[in-house]
Amino acid sequence: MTLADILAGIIFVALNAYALLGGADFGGGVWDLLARGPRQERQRELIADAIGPVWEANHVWLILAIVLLFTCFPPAFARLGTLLHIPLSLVLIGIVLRGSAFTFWRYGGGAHGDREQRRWGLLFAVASLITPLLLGATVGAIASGRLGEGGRGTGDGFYATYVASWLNPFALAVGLFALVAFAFLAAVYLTLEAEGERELAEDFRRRALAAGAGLFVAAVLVLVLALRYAPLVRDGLIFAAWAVPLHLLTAAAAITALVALWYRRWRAARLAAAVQVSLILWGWALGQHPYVLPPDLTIAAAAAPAATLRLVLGAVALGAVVLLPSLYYLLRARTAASVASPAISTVLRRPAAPAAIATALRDTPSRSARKRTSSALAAPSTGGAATRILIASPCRPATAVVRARGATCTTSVAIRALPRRRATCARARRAAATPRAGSSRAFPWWATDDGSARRTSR
Amino acid sequence: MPDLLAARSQMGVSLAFHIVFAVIGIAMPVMMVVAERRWRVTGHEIYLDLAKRWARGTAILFAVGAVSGTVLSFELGLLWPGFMRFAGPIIGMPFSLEGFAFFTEAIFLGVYLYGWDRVSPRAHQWAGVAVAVSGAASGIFVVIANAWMNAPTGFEVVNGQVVNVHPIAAMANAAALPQTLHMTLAAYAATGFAVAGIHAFLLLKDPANAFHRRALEIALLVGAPAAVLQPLSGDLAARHLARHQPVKLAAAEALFTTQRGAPLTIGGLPDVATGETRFAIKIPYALSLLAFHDPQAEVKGLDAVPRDLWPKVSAVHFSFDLMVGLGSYLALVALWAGWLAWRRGDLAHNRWLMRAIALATPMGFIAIEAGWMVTELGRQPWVIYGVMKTRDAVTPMPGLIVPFLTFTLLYCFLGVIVGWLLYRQILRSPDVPEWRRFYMPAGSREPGAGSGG
Repeated sequence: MTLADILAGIIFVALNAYALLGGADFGGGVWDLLARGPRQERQRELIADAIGPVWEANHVWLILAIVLLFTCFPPAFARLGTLLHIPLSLVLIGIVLRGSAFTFWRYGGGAHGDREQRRWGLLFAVASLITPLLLGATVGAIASGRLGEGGRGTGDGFYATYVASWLNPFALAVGLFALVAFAFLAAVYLTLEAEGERELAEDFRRRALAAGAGLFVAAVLVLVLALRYAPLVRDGLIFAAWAVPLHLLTAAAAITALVALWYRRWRAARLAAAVQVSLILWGWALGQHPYVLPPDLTIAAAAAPAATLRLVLGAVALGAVVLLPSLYYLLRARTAASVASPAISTVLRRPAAPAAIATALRDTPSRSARKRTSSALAAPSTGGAATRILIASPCRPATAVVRARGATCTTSVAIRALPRRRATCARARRAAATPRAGSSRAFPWWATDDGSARRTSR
Repeated sequence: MPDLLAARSQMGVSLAFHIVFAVIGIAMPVMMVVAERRWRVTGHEIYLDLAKRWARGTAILFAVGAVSGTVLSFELGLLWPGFMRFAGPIIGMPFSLEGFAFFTEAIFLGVYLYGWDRVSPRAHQWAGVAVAVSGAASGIFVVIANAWMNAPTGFEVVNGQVVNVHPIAAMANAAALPQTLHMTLAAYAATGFAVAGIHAFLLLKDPANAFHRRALEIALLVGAPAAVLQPLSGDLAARHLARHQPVKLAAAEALFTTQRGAPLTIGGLPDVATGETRFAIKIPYALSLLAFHDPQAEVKGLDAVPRDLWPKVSAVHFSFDLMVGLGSYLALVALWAGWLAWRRGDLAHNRWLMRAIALATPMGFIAIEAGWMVTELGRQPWVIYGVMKTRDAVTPMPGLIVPFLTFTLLYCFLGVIVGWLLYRQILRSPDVPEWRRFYMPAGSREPGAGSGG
């Protein structure tokens, strides 16, 4: 095994990770589009919560695969970019729309369920549907060996060179297969994410079983078309020495996944589904080894000089040392939240005395101090009962009252979502601060006075 | 539109779009970390709110930056397969490192955004630091790759074949230090001043608003030092150009003839046919002084190379003047604000300073775009300076105007949406007078909150 083979393997590992992680994010979009039934909104929320923290990290696997490909196998990258210009451009548009729509949906600031937010959700879902199809079609184009002959494609003319390779039954069947596989992965993962909400988990269990059946159909379709369109992969998958064990393993994984789903063993199902999809991918990779782009561009011929390969291998090793623990930490931090059980906690707060009397600079202006005299005249009296007239305009409160010292405050706070807190006492609302136990300087004096705050989760 | 022009335009639009988000992705996390640190130290909720708002802004902008960066990494192959086939092995290394740095950034941004109540405070703070550091690192790696295109080293060409590839030597090219320094400082200065400018604009209406005052402080803390240092790094970059890429400097300064004691040309209309720049302000000896620190030094003009190797002089000269002008403005405003702060003045009540900062909001970004125009247009017709022409790198695919228009429309759409989302975020800024001395987080406010009791 040469250095180039190792790096090709690493690139394929990155692609595999992208299929398992980023692919499942696309699948989540598919289920967002297909959300049905009484728990429709809850399904969408679960998908968004599951994808939210990780989709960017998942997406980077693709970038990593691409930069490693163009560093280590530049001719292959150049040929892919030339001959698959159209589908890759469409994939890019899909990626851009998917990622940005998701972010606008989540961080746009509009309320959940309002129409604008739903539009972003829809765009996110549609982009999630189209991107895997085209991504799969490019894989189909590569596997069918239509990107050969010195980079000229399969013939002359625009259509033959730039379109025919990916717009054919086999490539589109691979696209369909990719889409169904991603949807299957997503549904399987989501059963585990929904743990604790039985009905939601059941929703995704049904979807996962359906997608698993669909995946079988799509696989048969791809294999039948491969007999005619992808001789190299076909020969590999049928006649090679490793073919039979690989098929048996894949079948075993597929059956395990479905059986585990049937018996609601979510964790086992997740593992088996991931193994199943990975084995299919590696079957493709082994099928076309030693070619990067069959039928003429081999790994050895496309490889960059050894000096580059050695350095990249070093960088990958270094990167893995940094990335893998970080990734593990991210996934752990993400799941840490789902165990935060709702509970009522009563926090009685009694602050330390203010360290010193704080006196404002110059004076305490009631509004923009444009003239010093007027601002001085507007200075408030100190103490508890001062009434303040603020600028009267539609968007601001007309009057504000500084609460008396010693007022008792009751605040009702949602434990997880701090910004959503509701205050039961209008005065306390202003004073509501995040309680941070165990720190003597946790509360500024104004936050509490003698008050207490009750935290109640909703 | 010829295919080469369409390809260049598409790459240009993609870069111009991406760079805004890349730059914010470098500097915004720094501000967010500073705000969080201040909250941990002082316990003032206002800093927590700032940190959360900036984190939310970073999330939106980082996501758009991530996807537009993906587009760029593909476009290298989609539009410039000739370039990638040649340069991939030599300069792929910094791209790979950038991939890892970017990965780290994405991971820790996920931890930061979703970890407020899930990881320990210390871990959360360090996650923010990791985002800021890896953001700067990924920017530096990409600029190193670009620097190599300006000063290609680390390989030999024998009979049209690339041999003796040394990726490390290629990364350590002569342009790497001046370019990365200039770009990183630019990122902090532009983002710092953009944020400071927005808050300064709002402080003009309401100078007592504690939220905007704190935001202004932190934004200037990040932006002002970088803006002051930027002319120094610019000097470094210009002196590098004078030695290694004299044509680019000559185009930037509209210097048509090689001469001793060359003047500095400001403004004007360079006329390539006559070799003159009309209506320009000329400062004698200044260019020689700046480029070589010697008023009598010889500065190469455009006549040093044949006419077909000239870049588009007027565009490069105009962009250069724009960049220098805006950069100088930022540096002066930064010095002014720094002097006031040193004298313990109240910045927010200084209306003229606030106006000057508010005016600076878009300037850093315009300067960055102009600076990239200088370095990219100034390198033409080469894609790898002195080695490969741009026209030899472009894809053979015809009809490139279609993807160019498609991606331009896509980016316009995204740009409008992002602008609108940010505008809405800013509109929701809390309204907290300084005198109140306490602060209610935005989420707990309801209409008429102040009228109770």
